Amino acid sequence: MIILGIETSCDETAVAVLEGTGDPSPSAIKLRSNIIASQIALHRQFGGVVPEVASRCHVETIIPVMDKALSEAGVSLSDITAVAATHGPGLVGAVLVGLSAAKALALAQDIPFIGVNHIEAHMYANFIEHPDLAPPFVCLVVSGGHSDLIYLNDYGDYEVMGRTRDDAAGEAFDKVARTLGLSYPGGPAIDLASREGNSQAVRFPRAFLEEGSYDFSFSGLKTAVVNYVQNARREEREVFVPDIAAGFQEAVVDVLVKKTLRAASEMGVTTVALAGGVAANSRLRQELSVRAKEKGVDVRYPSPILCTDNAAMVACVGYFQLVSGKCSSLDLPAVPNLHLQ
Amino acid sequence: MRVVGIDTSTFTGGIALLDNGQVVAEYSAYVTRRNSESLMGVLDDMLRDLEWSARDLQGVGVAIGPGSFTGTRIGVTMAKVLGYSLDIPIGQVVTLDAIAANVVFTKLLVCPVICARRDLVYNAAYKVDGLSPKKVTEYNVGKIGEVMDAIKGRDRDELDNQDYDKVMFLGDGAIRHRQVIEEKLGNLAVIGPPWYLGPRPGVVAVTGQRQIAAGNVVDARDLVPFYMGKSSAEKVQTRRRPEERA
Ligand SMILES: [Zn+2]
Repeated sequence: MIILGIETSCDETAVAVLEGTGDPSPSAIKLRSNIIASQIALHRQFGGVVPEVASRCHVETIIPVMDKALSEAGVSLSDITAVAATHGPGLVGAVLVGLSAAKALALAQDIPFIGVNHIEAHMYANFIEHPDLAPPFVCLVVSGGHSDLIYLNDYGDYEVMGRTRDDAAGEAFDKVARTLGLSYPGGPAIDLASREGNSQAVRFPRAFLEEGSYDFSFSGLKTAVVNYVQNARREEREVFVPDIAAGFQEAVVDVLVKKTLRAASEMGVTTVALAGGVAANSRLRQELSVRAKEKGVDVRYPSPILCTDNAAMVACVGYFQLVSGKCSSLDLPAVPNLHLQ
Repeated sequence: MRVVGIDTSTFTGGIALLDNGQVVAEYSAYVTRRNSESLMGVLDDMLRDLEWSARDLQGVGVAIGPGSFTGTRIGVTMAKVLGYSLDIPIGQVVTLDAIAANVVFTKLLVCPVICARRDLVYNAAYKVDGLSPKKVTEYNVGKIGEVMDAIKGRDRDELDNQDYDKVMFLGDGAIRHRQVIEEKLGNLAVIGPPWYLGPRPGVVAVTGQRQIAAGNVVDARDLVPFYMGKSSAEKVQTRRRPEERA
C-alpha cells in the first residue's frame, strides 16, 4: 500500500509518499519521497512565522510540492491507497490548506482519508529510520510549537507525562536568538554560536518545577537571558554572544535530558526517542546520548530532515492507522490546539 | 457536462452540482469555518444521491473572493485539488459577481457589499438589465462610509441618465452596515431580500461553467484567492521599511 502524506501546520508545505507491506511494524515501511518547501526565507523578514503569510504560501505551493513528491516516488495518483494530513495542532489557517487538499484528493480518488495529530507524527518520524524501534518507549517531542514528554505504550496508545506550561523549547531558542542578535530561526543559530562559547561562563536558572513534575517552563530562563544581556549592556560590560548562547542552551538541554531520563526510569523503559525541530540540536543529542548510556538506556532520533516539520512522518502515522483499520470522516475539523488521545 | 460549484468565501456558502447546465443539487448554509471544512463530506453525499462518482465531474467552478481569507482558502484549495487530481478545468468566479448574479432584469443598480476586517468592505456596482450582471465600477475595498459617499455621487448621475431609480444592496455588508447605508443614501437604498444576500453555490457552478466554456480556465497550480489587499503583516512591513532606513 502507498500512503500520501500532507503537512501544512506551520511554515513548511510538505508532501511525502510512503510505502508499506501492510504489517503494523516499522520494518514494513519504506519512504519513497519526502518533499518540503520551506518558507523560512519568507518569514525571516518578519522575525517569526506570520500566519496569514504562511497560509497564502501553502495555497500557492501545495500542488507543485504534491507533483514533485509523486514524481520523485515514481508513482501516479491512481497508485495511492490512502491520503493522510495533519489536522492539528498548528496554525488553523495553515492546517486548513493541507487538510482541505487531502479531503479533496480522497474524494476525487475514492480512497480513505486519515487525519493525523502533528505531535504523534513527530514521534513516528523515528519509525521511518529505525525499523527495529518498538514500543514501549519514552519520547521527548521538542519544537517551536511544542515541548511534550510522552510515554508511548503501543502504536496509537500514549500517555502525556509532561508538557510546557509557557514557551515551547524552540520558541525560547527563537526569542533568545533575537535578543542576542542571531539569525532566525534561532535553534540552528544558537546551536552554531554555542560551539564557539563556554557553556559554564554564565549559569542560567533551570526550572525543574515541583518535585516529580515532568512539565517544562522556559519563560523564566528566557527572561533571565534577556535581563543578563540588558544589564551587561547598561553596565557596559562586554557581551560575548557565544558564551551566552552556550549557557542558555546548556540550561535547556540540562532540564530536557534530566526529565526525559527520569521519565524513562519511572516507566521502566530502556529506550528514549527524540522528535521535533529541537531534536536536531547537536548538544541535546550528544548530552542525552552520553547520560543515557551511563544508565543503559538506548537513544534514538531521526535525521534532521525528519526532525523538522515534514510529511513523511504524517504518512507514517497514516500507514499505522490504515493497517489498524482507523480512517477519518471527510468532516474532520482542523483543531489548532489538538492534544494527544 | 457535469460541474461542481464551490463557495466558502463569505457568510453563506456551499456546494452545487450541474448537469447539462441545470442545477441538480445545491447545498447552502450560513457558513461557519466548521461548515466549510465539511464540504467534501457534503459533496460525497450529493454524488451518492445522484449515483455519480467523482470521476463523472468534468469541471469545477469556485468562488475566489474577495471575502474571508481563511474561508476562501478552504474552497479554493478543494477546487484546485479536484481540478488537479481529476484533471478537469477550473473556472474562477469573483464572489461580488456571483452575488450580483442573484438578481435579474432589474432597474435598480445592484451593489454587493462584503464585510472585510473592521469597517472595511469590498464592493462593486452592477447593472443587471438582462440575465447577467454587467459591472459598472472597479472592484474596490474601502471604509463603508466612504464607499457609500462614492456610490451616492456616482449614482446621482446614473439616476438622471439611465433611469436607475434605486440602489439594491446585497451581501453581508448590507446587513451589518444597514444603518450607515440608510444614513448616507436615504430612500435611494434598498436592502435586498434575505434569500438574495449571499452568493449561491448554483450561481458559482453556472458562472464557472460559462468561464470554462469561454476558455477562461485557470491552471490548478495558479489558482489563488482574490485577496484584494495585502495581509496585515505585509502592510506592517511596508510601513516599517522607511523608518528602518532612516
Ligand atoms: Zn512540528
